[in-house]
Amino acid sequence: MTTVISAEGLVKTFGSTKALDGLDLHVEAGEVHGFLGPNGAGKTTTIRVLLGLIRATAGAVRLLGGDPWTDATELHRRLAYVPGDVTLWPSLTGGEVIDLLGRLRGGTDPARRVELLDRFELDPSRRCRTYSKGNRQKVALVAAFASDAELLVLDEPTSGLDPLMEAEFAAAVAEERDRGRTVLLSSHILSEVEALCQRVSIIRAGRTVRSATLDELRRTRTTLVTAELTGPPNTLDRVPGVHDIEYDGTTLRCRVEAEHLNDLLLALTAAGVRSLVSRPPSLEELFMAHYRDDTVGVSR
Amino acid sequence: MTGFAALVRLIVRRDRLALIVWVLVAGLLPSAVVAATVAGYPAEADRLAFAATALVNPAELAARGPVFAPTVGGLTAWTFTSSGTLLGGLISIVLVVRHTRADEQAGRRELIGAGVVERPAPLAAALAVVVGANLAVAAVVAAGLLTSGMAVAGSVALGLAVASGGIAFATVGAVAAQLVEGAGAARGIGIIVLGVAFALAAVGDVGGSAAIWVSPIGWARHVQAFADEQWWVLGLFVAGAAFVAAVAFALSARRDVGGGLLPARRGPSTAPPLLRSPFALAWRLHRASIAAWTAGLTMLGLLFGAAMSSLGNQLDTPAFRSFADAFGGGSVADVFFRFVLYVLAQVVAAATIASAMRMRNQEVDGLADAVLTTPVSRARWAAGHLACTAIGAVLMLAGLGLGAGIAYGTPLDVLGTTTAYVPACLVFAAIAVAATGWTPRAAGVLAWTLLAATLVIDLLGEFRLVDRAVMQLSPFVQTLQPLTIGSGLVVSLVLLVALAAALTAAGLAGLRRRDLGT
Ligand SMILES: Nc1ncnc2c1ncn2[C@@H]1O[C@H](COP(=O)(O)OP(=O)(O)O)[C@@H](O)[C@H]1O
Ligand SMILES: [Mg+2]
Repeated sequence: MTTVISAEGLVKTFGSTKALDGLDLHVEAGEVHGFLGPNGAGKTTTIRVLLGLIRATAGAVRLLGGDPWTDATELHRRLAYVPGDVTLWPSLTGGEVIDLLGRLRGGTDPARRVELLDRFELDPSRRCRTYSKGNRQKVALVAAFASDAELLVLDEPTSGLDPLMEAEFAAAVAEERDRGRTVLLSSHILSEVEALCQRVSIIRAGRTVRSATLDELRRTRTTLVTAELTGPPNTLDRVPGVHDIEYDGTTLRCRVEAEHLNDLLLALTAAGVRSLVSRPPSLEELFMAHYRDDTVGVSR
Repeated sequence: MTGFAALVRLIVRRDRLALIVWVLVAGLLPSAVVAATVAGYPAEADRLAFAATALVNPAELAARGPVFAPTVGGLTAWTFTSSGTLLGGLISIVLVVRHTRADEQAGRRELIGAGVVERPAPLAAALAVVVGANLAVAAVVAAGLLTSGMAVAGSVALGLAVASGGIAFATVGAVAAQLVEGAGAARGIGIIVLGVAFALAAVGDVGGSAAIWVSPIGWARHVQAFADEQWWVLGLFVAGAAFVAAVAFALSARRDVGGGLLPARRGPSTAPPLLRSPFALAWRLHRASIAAWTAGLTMLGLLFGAAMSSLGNQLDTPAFRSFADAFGGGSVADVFFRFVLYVLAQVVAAATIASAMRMRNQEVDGLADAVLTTPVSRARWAAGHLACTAIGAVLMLAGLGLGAGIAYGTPLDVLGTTTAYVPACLVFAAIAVAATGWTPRAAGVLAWTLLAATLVIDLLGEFRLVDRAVMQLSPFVQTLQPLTIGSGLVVSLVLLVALAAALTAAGLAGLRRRDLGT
């Protein structure tokens, strides 16, 4: 596999604000890569660096084998971009914008254009000034999907779409993935990323806090254990890999790393167990933990 | 009406600077006209002669209506009423649309609508502020004229006539804002109504017909300030504005927020074959304003040319003769004409700066990103816009020259004079480009300030208040002087073009190396 995007130690400062603070991002050809982070984490800033619209203060970036700043014009032949806040020329119609962007990129597939317009229920004869945010986003999405770019860079592309259109969007991205296109999908919504991406990079405050496949994330997470005990569990604090121990009378709650589950069970049976419930945390809890900068559910 | 007071405060807060500038400038203009009239036509015989020629000059009748009294007051009212009403009407339309339809279109109206605001409150608040500002203009006009020693009745009548015109067009703007979904289209409808009203007043006064009575601009003229004031005409304004405002409120109650009564016009669902380059896109974005400016300047040129060709007598007063001598000599009409074209060229420079700043506006609005993330380089994107700016400058000045020249009887001479200002205008566009490249956030302020400073220096120079050497810094002076002397024009123009090219190249270099959208 070839690397489509590689960024290492990216730093970007705007005056005194540090928007990126040593961010790493690696995207391989053919993958749909989730780029997750709370609002203000630096997703848009990273993408604008990748597109050569702004220059990183420090760090190394490569995009499609080139330098996104010096080779911008050449590289843009091979990618299509949908910004998070789509603005369009008020006096042009949606159809005109789609055609114009397509021609600037070097051609659109007319059949695909018709199909996409139909799918996203977009009226291309309306002036852009009359479009809602969602409709403006659809114009940019149709233009991007109808291009034959090998890389799609999508910045929170569903923030204005209704649930039905979100589903259409997900289906379209899945098709692009099957066609072998690479997609960088920024989002702050977990479910969207979970359904579409093989790998995710989670960023917070301009720094990558985790980059892994979704499977890895699922495997490495900890288990939540709730046990009702018959006696005091004296030895618990000596069991490795157990965190967040809480007592409520005879009820114990704690979190344990997968490889230490056996040790915990031995300690519990030594104390005497009346009932036991264990469950894995949802991915949601996992992501929330990363977002909040504590270590709940995260094993490193 | 719940929310009304809060909205009024919000509007005043957002526009306080513009409102203050408008009220003071429009309000104090008549006092300046009084001073100019006293200086230019000191004797009653001068004023009588002036009025006599103005009354038989169709261009003057069309643009300003009849002179009702050959007194200082009468000539002041004649000079100020039409242009004051046009200015007040234009600002009123723009402001009302800005605080009604533009807010709705931007989604701000929904934020307000979700709060504790009754349905008609936003429209009522916008109208209240604009009506209040027009009345403030009336108060300043009257106060200024009284201070200049003018009669009470005439001062009040002139203030109220102009303010009533503004208020009438504010209500027109309110109706337009209900009709269509786009703020631009609403403004357009308002301005077309303003244009039709002006045309009706022009036709009415040239032909002496009743057409003036269907036009608020006609009404404002025929209040006859300082000439046996016709107070009842102000009643027409009250009735007319109340009726049109009622229509606006009725329409606003009948439609959805964000919706219009006229369906939004559809457009082509595919792009025309030529829309395939950054230049083609830039041309689409610039062409409407270039066409409007060119048409407006051509008409202005026709009007001035016609006025000038019959103005020889009016202008032949000692005051103007000494002005003409100071301004290079020749017949008073020729000199005055050259001066008018010089001032209008400065207007074109303003339009050219606005056009050059469109590039920066596209960037700030996020529209540059859309083009620059396709295989289009920054230089090529900028070149598309700048080509349109240059074409616009040429078309505007050529239109002005042709219009003025045809009406004056010497089309090619005048065309040559006006197009000689193309390089001067391009220098100001290039200043805007250089600033866009290197100090993008201050670009607009910088370019406009430099133009304003140049105009002020030119003006002070006419009155010998600035050193000649300082005046030489002005690109307009660098063009006017060789035009007046009759030699050295080519060298001047080549130097100005070279300066514009250097500034543009510097701007593009800056644009290539900086972050976009910040
Ligand atoms: N042009 C700018 N000037 C100043 N600060 C900026 C600018 N662009 C982004 N930032 C700041 O950088 C941080 C990251 O922003 P952004 O990349 O837009 O986050 P995200 O897209 O993840 O929501 C935010 O704190 C934001 O305020
Ligand atoms: Mg963002």
